Amino acid sequence: MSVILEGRDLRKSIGDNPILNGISIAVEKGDFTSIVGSSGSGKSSLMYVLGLLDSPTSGEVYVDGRKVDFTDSKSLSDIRNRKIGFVFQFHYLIAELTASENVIVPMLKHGIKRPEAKDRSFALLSELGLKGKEGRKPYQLSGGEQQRVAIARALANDPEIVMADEPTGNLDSKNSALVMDVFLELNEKGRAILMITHEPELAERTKKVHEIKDGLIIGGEEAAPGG
Amino acid sequence: MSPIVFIALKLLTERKRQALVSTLGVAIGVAAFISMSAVMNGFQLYFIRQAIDINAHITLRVQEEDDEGRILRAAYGDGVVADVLGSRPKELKDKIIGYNNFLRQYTADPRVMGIAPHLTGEGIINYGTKDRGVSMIGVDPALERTASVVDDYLEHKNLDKLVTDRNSVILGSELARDLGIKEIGKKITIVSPTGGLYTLEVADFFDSGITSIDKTRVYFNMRTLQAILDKPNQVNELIVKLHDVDDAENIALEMSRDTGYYAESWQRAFRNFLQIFKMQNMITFMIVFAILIVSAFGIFNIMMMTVLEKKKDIAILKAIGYEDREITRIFVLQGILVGFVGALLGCLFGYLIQEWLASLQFDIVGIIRTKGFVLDRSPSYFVYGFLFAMLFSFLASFYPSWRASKLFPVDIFRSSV
Repeated sequence: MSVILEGRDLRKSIGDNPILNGISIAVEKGDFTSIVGSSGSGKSSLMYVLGLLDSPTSGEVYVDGRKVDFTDSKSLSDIRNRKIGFVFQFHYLIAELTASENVIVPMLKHGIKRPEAKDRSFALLSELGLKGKEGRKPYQLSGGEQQRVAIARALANDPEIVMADEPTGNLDSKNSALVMDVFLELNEKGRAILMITHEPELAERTKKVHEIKDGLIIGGEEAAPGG
Repeated sequence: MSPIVFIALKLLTERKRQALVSTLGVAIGVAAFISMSAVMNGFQLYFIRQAIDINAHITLRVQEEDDEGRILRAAYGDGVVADVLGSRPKELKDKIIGYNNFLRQYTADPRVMGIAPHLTGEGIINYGTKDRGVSMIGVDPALERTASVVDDYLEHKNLDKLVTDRNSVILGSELARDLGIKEIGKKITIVSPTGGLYTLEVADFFDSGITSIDKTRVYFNMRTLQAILDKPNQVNELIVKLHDVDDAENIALEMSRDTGYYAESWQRAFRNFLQIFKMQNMITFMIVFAILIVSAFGIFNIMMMTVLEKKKDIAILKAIGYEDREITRIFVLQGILVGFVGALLGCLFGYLIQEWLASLQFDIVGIIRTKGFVLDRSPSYFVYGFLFAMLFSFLASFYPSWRASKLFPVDIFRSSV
């Protein structure tokens, strides 16, 4: 399997406080990897560095085998737009835009024309069970629906990998299960997913689990109960 | 539509009340600028136009010697004389020698439209029980017409009466009103500086609209005034009308050099007024700028609040690939759109206010007298108002937009947890 995203000996400090202490990790095509750990263990920091939202103090990140230059902000923005989709604990939908428009925003940046982007946003929302709700504003949707719109936005530019940081952390159990089902389905279709979670029962449903503690990966296992 | 325009428009139009308040702020600033400029400059331009037309673009006269220390300084150098005590003004030879030569010389100058001789002096006018101090001007009507527009301001167009009846005078309209003279043909008495009494007939009234002139001026036939002032064949002023009034300062300097007399341009003659106008303009512009700055602060405030409120949106936009400069543009564009619509509305309001001001009819009596406002409805005020508004809107929105672009998304994602 080809490696889509790789971090080598990643270290990150904030002031004198080390957050990541030399983590190496690779995500291959079709992977569904979860990173678990307690609060403050460095799992979100790792996602931010791997997602090119933050730069490591040292170490390297490779996307599709090419070393990422963290000093080139234009290139970082471009990679984030084309190759990575993000889902966060909070949906971060833009309140002034409809569900469809929220999904369109990354596509317009990608250069896709608005009519085409609109069609694609409708298709994605429909796939995620939001048919008929494309014109609704975020406040007119339930928490689970909002998170599914956020997932549709993450998929807008057909990225190679979706990074999810506690995607169900703000949802009730029913909606959590629904969102997790969406991720599993996406993964089944070949999409690589890297998920940060502190819920072991969710991690158990992914193909790979890495446990992180004090900025180091202390354990990993291959599992495929749900994937 | 570019994603920047799309997002900017969405963010702006979904916050209608805030956008409307900022837009109205800009519109009020622009409308105030346009209407105040029209009123202030209209008044000033009217005054200047009247004043320079009635007087002269350049006046050539004998200069008064008022610098007592000049000769001592010339002999011993600057700084030697601290003060000269007990000096008595020397007798002024108040006449222009060889003025006919100057008339010929400057009539041939292509920059000069006309030149006319004046004899001026002070006197007292008496009508019934009323006396008033007046400024007497002796003119040659034929030449006067080439160098001033005095004819335009005569109620009965009787300037030639000064020629056909040398014992006639033309009174300023305000002076006539002061004296209680309402019709031509009345006899008045002039008391000359030497005490001579002369009875003359009122041939016309002169109404320039400038109170200070209309209240004091009396026109005579040149020969008549020469006789009254006992200055036969003398003139003490030449008035010059130019094709280009803005040339007056330079041509005046040239004339002073060539003739040896003091040539005063209209800019110099009215420098006190011009300085007052300058100050008035500064005050007007300060007020209008204050209005525009307040409206700009309105935009600034709203943009800063928007940026603070939209931190999470900015973070997600950056996460999904929008660059810093694109974030800046999204917010600057909102400010510019507010400025643009506000400026357009301001131009419309400004136009409507001008229309309303122009329709008002009431007597204004001050240093000028008019019916209603004299407006300068120059399109340049609209252009400047529009450009100022755009500039202020841009400046007001730039800093918040730049701040927005510098937000670090990870900080926002962390703080949201």
